Amino acid sequence: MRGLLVVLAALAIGLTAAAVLPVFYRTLLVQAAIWAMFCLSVDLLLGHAGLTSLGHAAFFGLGGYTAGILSARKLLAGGWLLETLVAVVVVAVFAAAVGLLVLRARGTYFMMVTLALAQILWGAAQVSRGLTGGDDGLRGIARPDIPLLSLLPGGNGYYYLVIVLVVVVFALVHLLHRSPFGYALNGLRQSETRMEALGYNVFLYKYLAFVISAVIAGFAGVLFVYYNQYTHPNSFSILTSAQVLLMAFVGGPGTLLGPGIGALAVIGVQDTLAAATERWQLPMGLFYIAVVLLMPRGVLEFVRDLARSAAQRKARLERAPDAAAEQG
Amino acid sequence: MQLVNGASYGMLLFLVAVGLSLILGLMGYVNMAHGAFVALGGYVGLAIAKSTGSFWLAILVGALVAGLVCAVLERVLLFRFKTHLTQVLGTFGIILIIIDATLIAWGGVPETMRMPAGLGQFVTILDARLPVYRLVLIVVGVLAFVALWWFQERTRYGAVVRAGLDDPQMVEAIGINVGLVSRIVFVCGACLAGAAGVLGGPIIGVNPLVPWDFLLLSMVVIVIGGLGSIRGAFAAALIVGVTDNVGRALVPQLAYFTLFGPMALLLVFRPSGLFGRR
Amino acid sequence: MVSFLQTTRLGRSFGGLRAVRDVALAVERGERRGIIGPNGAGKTTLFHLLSGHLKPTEGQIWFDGRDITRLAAHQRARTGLARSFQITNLLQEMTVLEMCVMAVYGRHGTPFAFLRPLLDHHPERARAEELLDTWGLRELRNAPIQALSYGDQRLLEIVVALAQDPQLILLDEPTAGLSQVESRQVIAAIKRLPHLTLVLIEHDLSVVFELVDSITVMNQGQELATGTPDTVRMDPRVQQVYLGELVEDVP
Repeated sequence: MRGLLVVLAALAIGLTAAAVLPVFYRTLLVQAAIWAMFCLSVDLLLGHAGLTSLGHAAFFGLGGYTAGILSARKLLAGGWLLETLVAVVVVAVFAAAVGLLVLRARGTYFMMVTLALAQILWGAAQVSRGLTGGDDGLRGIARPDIPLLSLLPGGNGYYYLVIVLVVVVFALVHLLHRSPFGYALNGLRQSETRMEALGYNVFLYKYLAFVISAVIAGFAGVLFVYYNQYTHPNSFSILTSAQVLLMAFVGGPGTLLGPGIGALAVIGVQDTLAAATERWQLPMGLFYIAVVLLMPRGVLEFVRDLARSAAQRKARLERAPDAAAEQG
Repeated sequence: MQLVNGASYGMLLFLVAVGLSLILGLMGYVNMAHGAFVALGGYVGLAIAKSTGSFWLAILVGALVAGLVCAVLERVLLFRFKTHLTQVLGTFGIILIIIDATLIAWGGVPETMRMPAGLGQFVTILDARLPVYRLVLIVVGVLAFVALWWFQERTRYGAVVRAGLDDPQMVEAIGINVGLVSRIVFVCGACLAGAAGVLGGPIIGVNPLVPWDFLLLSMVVIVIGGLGSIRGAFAAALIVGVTDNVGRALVPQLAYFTLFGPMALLLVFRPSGLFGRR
Repeated sequence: MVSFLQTTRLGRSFGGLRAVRDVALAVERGERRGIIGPNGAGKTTLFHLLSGHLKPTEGQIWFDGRDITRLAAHQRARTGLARSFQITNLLQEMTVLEMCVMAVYGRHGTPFAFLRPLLDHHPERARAEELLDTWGLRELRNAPIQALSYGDQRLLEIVVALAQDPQLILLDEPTAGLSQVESRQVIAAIKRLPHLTLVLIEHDLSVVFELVDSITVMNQGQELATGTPDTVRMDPRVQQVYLGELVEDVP
């Protein structure tokens, strides 16, 4: 039961970190955890099924807004659990309906259609002031209050909840990756023709992956809204979609820890830049370009390459004195 | 009235989207930075218009600056992004940089360009009071479409572009430098986008949101019109412009949702766009 | 009486080009049929029509008594119609074992298998391992497919088709791109195949004559002749199509 041990270890590390880290790092950790879940959903499509969605913020925002609206306008009596459930169901239904259309677009069309989708929702959020608060967003959203977790040190039970939920979702998605379903996704990324010839209904697999990915993104959106305690149309914006894609890229698509590493790196960079200057988007843009040019296969490969060339250089230097001796 | 508004906006959209569509169809290159050319054109044009008072000079310089920046970027940076994903991320980084740069250089206060002399009035046609400038825009857009279409269908260079769209390897085999042609198309597309930025100045203004609006709507235009098609870009831009305007006028609550309609229809019946190649 | 695999007036056009037309194939259960013809005769297009990767623009296809013309490729695979590809189309990033298990799984499995790891699906895994043992690929089972030699990959194409528990296999140029030695290996493997119905495209005529009971010759998208290897060899029209080229070479 190695898997179970790994999960428990991850939980232990995460929860301890949330308890003992100073405030700046603690908030960084929780933000990174939420974005990591969002990135995980994107990577399911990108690194596994081979679909590049430029509008995943649509689901992220939709989940967050649903929960946010229910919470801020006090529409439900069941508390955060029910709000979360409703939000997830709304996202699932939306993705199920929209996926049938969107997946008919191939290649670059798919990218643009997903982008357009998120943009349409962004517009809707801006315009429907009555429902969504428009450009001001909604405030007064209550964070889930879990009496048990509030007893833990650090004072903020919500942070622990986030860590637990994120670790659990990562574990479930890991199982997914190793299941026949996960293998089929990887297979259809490599060759749809081959998978069809093996008896796999490629469209159905893509569709299921799309909906599952949307649900996870929506769930991350809910956690995000509870964390910030307010909603904003920017949840739907292209900046959000691009950022989560960057995280997937930085972490290395197709790996399990990739989304986590990517999320941590990008959030870290962004928070640092935002603290330093109001015009942080400019250096952020440079970061995008630097990552794409220097780390095409993700940050882990980049570090490994650096280590390898450092080792080679060292070996050459060690051999050099011998060579000199031979010539002399 | 709404039709005219929608059609004139559609013309601007056409000018922006056509470059994006062609480069996507020709080189398979996803350029998220395309919106930046609109911004550059707009801001530079605004500066020129303010200092010299000449609207037409503003258009020229705006377009040229956009084209120049595109050419430099292309040589230095853009070609390094080889996969769709790296193109998306890399060019997104570029647009972030450029937009922030315009904010640093010119501030973010939304401005409206002054209407060129004589075009600021209204004219009455068939009982409707229509703005002359918008009518002029429609004419300009149609002229641009005809010019581009004529160029692509009737000239030798256009034939190369057409061939490049259909079968790049064949064209290379014949010995024509597809790369060079593509770069020229790229730069021309940027010039058109820059011009659109200036032309749009009097009606939608010059502000940091403009490039994003245009970029994203251009994507919708390409989805509806098809990759690499000038006719498609024109038709789709008109559809998007009119649908959006009419939709907003009739049911303001729905706003962007009106775009869902044409896109969904397309996806059901013609997933490669109205005139898409591939 | 309908044959095991039968087509009536099968055709496919691409705009003005008629790549395949009016093909009436009739393959009996257990028969080994070879499809030969010069380049561009439409052989691979025919295979795409049979396996479902292309939709016909005219005609019908019957398999095991059922009209499969409207069935999608994956549905045909699940009725027992398997195929291999001329240009190796294996899942390079997977290991040999993983791809074989996927092949076994694809026949009857459901997409809704989200939780149990692939390699824990014991019946499918056992069947895959059994096949790898039989065909001498056991040592390579944990190797990524991209690490295999081309000859081993061509062999794997056949094993994967077998893993699909097929009633009929379409083999598309199994020895394409192989050296003499590797070809012999693959030919020996085909000879060892259990008593299945086989339809085989091959360029090397001596190989075809060695492996099949009957031959269909295609030319320019149409069926030119069908018969036993000897009948076909003697057919003057066939000779013209093949040898006609040779005659021109003689000064």
